Amino acid sequence: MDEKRLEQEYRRLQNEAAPDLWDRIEGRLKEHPERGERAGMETAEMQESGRRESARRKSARRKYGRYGYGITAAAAAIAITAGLNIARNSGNMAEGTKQAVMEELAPAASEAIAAETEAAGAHGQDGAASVAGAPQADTDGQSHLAQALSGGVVTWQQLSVAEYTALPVPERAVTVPEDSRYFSEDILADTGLLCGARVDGVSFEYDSSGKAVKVVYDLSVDEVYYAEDYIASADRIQVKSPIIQADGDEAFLLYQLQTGGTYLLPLRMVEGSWELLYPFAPQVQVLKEGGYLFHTGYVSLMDSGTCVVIGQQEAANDYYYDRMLFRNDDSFLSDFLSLVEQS
Amino acid sequence: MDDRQFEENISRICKNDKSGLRAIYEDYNPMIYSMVLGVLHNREDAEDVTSEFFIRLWDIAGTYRAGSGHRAWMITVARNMAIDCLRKHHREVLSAEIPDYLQTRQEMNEANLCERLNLEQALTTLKEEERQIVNLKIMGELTFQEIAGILKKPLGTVTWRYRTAIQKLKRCGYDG
Repeated sequence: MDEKRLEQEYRRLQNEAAPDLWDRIEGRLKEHPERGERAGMETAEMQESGRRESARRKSARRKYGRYGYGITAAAAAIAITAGLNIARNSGNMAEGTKQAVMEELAPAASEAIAAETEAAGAHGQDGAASVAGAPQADTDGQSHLAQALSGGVVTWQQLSVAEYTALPVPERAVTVPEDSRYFSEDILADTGLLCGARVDGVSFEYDSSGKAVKVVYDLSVDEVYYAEDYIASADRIQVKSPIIQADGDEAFLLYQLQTGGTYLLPLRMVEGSWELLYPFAPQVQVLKEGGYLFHTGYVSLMDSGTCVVIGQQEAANDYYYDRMLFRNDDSFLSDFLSLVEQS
Repeated sequence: MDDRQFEENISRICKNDKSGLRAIYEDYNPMIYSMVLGVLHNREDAEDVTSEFFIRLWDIAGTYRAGSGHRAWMITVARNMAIDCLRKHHREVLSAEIPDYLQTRQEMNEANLCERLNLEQALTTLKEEERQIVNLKIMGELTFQEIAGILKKPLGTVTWRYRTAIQKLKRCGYDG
C-alpha cells in the first residue's frame, strides 16, 4: 500500500468529518476598537520580523552578482576562520555556543560558494581556480582577505568524493523518515566498535513477506580503533542500517555509504548484528588524498584547521548538505577516539 | 497555507478584518477539529472547543510571533483548550486509556476485524496515543520533534508509535 495515498485518504476523511462552524464563530467575534494605530504598528513590526526570518532561511540559496562576490566570499572565509579560531581557543566554550557559531557560519560559507560557482561559470574554471582568478582587491587589506578564503572554504568538487549514487528504494520497504532522530555526540556512548572500513557492497535485507527492511553494507575493516568484542583488522563484517528515506521529487535513500568509499564508523551491536550508530546523518568519510569529511554535529571536532565544505543538496530532506566540514591533520583521529572514550 | 500567508491573515485580523480569520478557518478547521476530537472523544464538545478556538484566535492574534511555526502554535493552543475542557467537565481520559466506543473493536479478533476495512474502521484499531500522533503528523503536518514537544513524549517514542500505527493500518488491508 502506498503511504502517500493513505495520508491523502486520511486528510479527505478528516476534511469531510469536520462540521461547518463558521456561522457560530462569526456571530461571537468581539469588536476590538483598540486595534487602531497600535495594531498597525505591531503588524508592520511582525511582518518585518517575518521577512527577516524568511530572508535568513533563504540566504543559503541566494545568488550574488559577479562584482560583489570577491569581497563577500572573502569576508565569509574570514568569519569562518575567526569563528573556528575562537572555538579552538575557547576550550571551555559551551557546546551550544559552538554549534551556534557553525549554524551562523554555514550560510555565509554557502553564499561564498554560490558566488564562487557563479564566477567559475563565468570564467570556465573550477571553484578553486575561480577564487585565485577573482578580481584583485584594490587595497592590501582586501587582498589579504581574498587569500584567506582558500584556507576556510572547500568546494565539494575540490575533494575526491565520488558522485553520490543511491540504491533505488524498493517499492515495498519499511522506511524511516530522516527527521525521526537527531544527531548528538552523546550517542557515541553506545559505540561497540569504532573502525576504519572500506565499503565493498550495498544491498537490502528483506523480511519474510518480501519487504525491504534494512540496508546492508559489506565492509572490509582496515583498522579497529575501539572494540568491546574481539574484531581484527582485515576482517569482513556486515553492517546494517534502517532505510532512511527522503521524500523529494521521488523517494530517495539518504546518507547511504558509497561502494568503494572508506569511512570511520562508530557501530553498535543490535540483536547480533552491527548497525550504524548514526543512520540519520552522514558518516565520517576518509578521503583518498587524506583528511576526514564530517558534519557540524561533531562540534567537539572543530578546530582552527577545519574547512567548511559546501555540496549539493541530495534530496529535499537532506539537512546536512551545507553542514559538512573537512579536516586534514594528524590529530583528527585521536580527537575522535577521545570523544568516543569520553562519552 | 505557508507561514507568510498565515502572517498576512493574522495582520488582517489585527485590523479587525474578518476575512483573515475566515481564510485561516477554511484551511485549518479540519485540522483543529480532528485534533480536538482526538482529545475529547465527543463530537459536541469538539465542536464547542473548535469554535472557541477560532474565537480566541481572533482575540489573541496579536500575540503570534512570526517565524515560530504557525501550525504547531495553533495546535498547542487548541490542545490546551481541549484539555481544559476535559478538566472542567471532570471527564478526564488518560492518554493510555482506550475510549469506550473503541473498546468493542479493540476486543474483537484483530485478524477477523482487519480482513478488509475502510480507513475509518481501520483507525479504530489504533491506540489512543497512536491516533493522536497520526493526526498531528498528517493533518498538522508537524515534524516528529514538534509532536514530541506538544505531547511531551520522547522523540523516539513518537516516531515508533507513528510507524507502528501506519503498519497496523497496512495490516488491516486498507489500500486507499
